[in-house]
Amino acid sequence: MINFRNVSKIYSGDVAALRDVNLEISSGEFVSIVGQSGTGKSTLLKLLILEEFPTAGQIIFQNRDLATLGSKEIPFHRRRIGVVFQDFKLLNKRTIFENVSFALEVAGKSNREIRQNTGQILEIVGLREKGNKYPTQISGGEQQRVAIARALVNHPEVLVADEPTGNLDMINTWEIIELLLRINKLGTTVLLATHNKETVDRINRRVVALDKGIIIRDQQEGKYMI
Amino acid sequence: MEWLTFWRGIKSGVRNFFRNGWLSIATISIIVLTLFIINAVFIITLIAKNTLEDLQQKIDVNIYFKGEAEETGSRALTDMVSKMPEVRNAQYVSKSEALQVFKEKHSKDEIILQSLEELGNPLQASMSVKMENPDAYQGIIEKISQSQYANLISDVDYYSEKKPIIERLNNIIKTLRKIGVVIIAIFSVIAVLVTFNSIRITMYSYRREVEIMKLVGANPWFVRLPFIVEGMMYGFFAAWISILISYPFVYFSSPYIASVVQNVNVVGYLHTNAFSIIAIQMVSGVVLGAISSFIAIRKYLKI
Repeated sequence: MINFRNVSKIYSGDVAALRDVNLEISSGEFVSIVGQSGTGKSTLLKLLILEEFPTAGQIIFQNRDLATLGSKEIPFHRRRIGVVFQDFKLLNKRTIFENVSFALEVAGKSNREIRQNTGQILEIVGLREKGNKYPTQISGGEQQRVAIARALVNHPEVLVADEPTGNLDMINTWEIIELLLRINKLGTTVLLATHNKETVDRINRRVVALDKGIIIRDQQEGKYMI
Repeated sequence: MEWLTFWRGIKSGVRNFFRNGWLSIATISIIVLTLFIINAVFIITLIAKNTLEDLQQKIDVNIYFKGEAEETGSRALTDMVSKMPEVRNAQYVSKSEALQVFKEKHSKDEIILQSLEELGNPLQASMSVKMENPDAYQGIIEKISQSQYANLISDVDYYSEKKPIIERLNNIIKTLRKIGVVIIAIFSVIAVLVTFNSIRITMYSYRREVEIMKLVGANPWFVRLPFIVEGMMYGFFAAWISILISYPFVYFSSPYIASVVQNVNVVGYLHTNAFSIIAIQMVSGVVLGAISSFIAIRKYLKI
């Protein structure tokens, strides 16, 4: 489903974030991408959502080379990939409900669809009763769940999580990871970028390790080892 | 873009405008101040121009007829001159009329009135000529002095008295027009820059929102629209407020202006042109706001 072929990303000044990366991810997988900060995990994800473009190599998504996408197609591509960040990236001036429904508005859905889908997704992440609250009024763990809800509401094929638990305590961290695992079970491919050793070991799924922009290990049922 | 999305964009823009509270008020205030200054400059230029043009209207050239000239000839000349297209007005003043005017002017002066009794009527008949174009006096004088009636004329007050005045006045008016245009142009540029910057600052506060909108896969126009709408609202309200502030100012200072400078009716001018004045300010405000937002948000869109 996702195929990185000889992908390199070199920033000006010869800073190589990724070097000749080859990575294939099948539909329905749960992949943890691990490595120290700055080894290129975030870059990999940015390339996938076309926030950055590779210096070399190809990225194939669902049989389509992303380099062939026109600028008008990029927004549509992004709706197929849900992204969750360490800092949640919620709109503080909007309610939880509005934050999630925003993703549907962007996709041009009708008001009825929005009400239904938003309600459903908030139910899945366990925040239905807090729909009227503002991000500042809920905990960090809850905010991240809102972010996940927003990422999922357009039924994307892939959910990408870039250090989603970086700002959370251990209990919240595990709740989020469990949520991601549940989502994966329902069929969504999940890519989790993290440097949290315990999390990765506990998940016990495929682990791709990056070091200085190169993949050094790719194991099913992997452990966090650099 | 579909209608639903378009409508959502507009609602979003209006909502942002009101949710911004103090930031909106600050931005609008700055734009209003700038517009107010432009209005003031404009009105001052208007008053100056009207005053001078009014003076210009009052200027005339007097052609004096010889004492023995027959009235029929003089009147015929006056008639001929007044029919010329470039002449605004030609008026014949007979000797007796001239005497009447003189007596009224000096009605409080006993000595003069008494001298008149003894002298009889020393005044000459005259024709006062007012031209449409202030540059045309030389031409008409020459025409008249070359006409068949030339021998009736004794004196023309153009060369010695009127010419320097007329020329000075014309020059002042021309210079003022040029200066006026330049000053208004400068202030307009300032207004544009101030508006643009104020709106840019407001858009800066939206950078996170824009980032998230892009992330979630929003189409660029869906991102832009609310901000353009917000910018238009800034322009719209600023224009109205500046009009509502400027008008009372003008209205109340009008009597003072009138006492200093006669025949200048600023309020009247505003009333007559009210529709176009308001329309111009409204349209410029809205367009300026829209363009400023569009340019300002591009920086964060980076598409």
